[in-house]
Amino acid sequence: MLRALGVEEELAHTSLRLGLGRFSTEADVDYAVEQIVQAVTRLREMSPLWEMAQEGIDIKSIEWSEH
Amino acid sequence: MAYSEKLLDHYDNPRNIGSFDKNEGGVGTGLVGAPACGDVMKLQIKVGADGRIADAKFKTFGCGSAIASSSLATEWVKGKTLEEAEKIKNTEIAQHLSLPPVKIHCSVLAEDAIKAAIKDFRTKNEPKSSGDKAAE
Repeated sequence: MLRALGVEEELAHTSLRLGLGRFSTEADVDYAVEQIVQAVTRLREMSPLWEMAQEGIDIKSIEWSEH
Repeated sequence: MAYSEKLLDHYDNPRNIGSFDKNEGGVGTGLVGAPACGDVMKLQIKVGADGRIADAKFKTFGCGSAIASSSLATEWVKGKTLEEAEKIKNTEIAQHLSLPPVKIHCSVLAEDAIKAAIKDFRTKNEPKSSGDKAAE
């Protein structure tokens, strides 16, 4: 769906789909936020792409080996 | 199929996350995969004066299997000579972590990352080599 919207593949791979239902509570949302922030922080710390972004390296300038 | 305990352990407690300065002497850097495919692994080795891999670090963007495969790879290369390290097969990684069939490519990527780091080290440390092509 994201690809159909014109979102590039790189970005589509970092997407997250969230759904709310009529029984979702504010506490559920707070809990989800807390969990997601924790997970994203952890994954960023081990991501070579995040590291490059911090160093100002444009990942599009790199010749990736598609697999 | 559920992930194996060994895989989950590497995912929850990844070994050797981090980076060396890639311009530091004795460091070889391998960067494999592609953001568009959803997997990128950076594996670095630090080779000691005795020719053995004294230390290794990784950073991986990808699924849990990719993170576990590269974490395991850094553990396995430590203490090995380059010749020994490049003999590590993806099948051994896949077997150790009991990777499900759809995740076999993660172990292939980890093997490629080891080889790329070794290649980069050799390129940088061979006095004869003309083109100093770092693993960018």
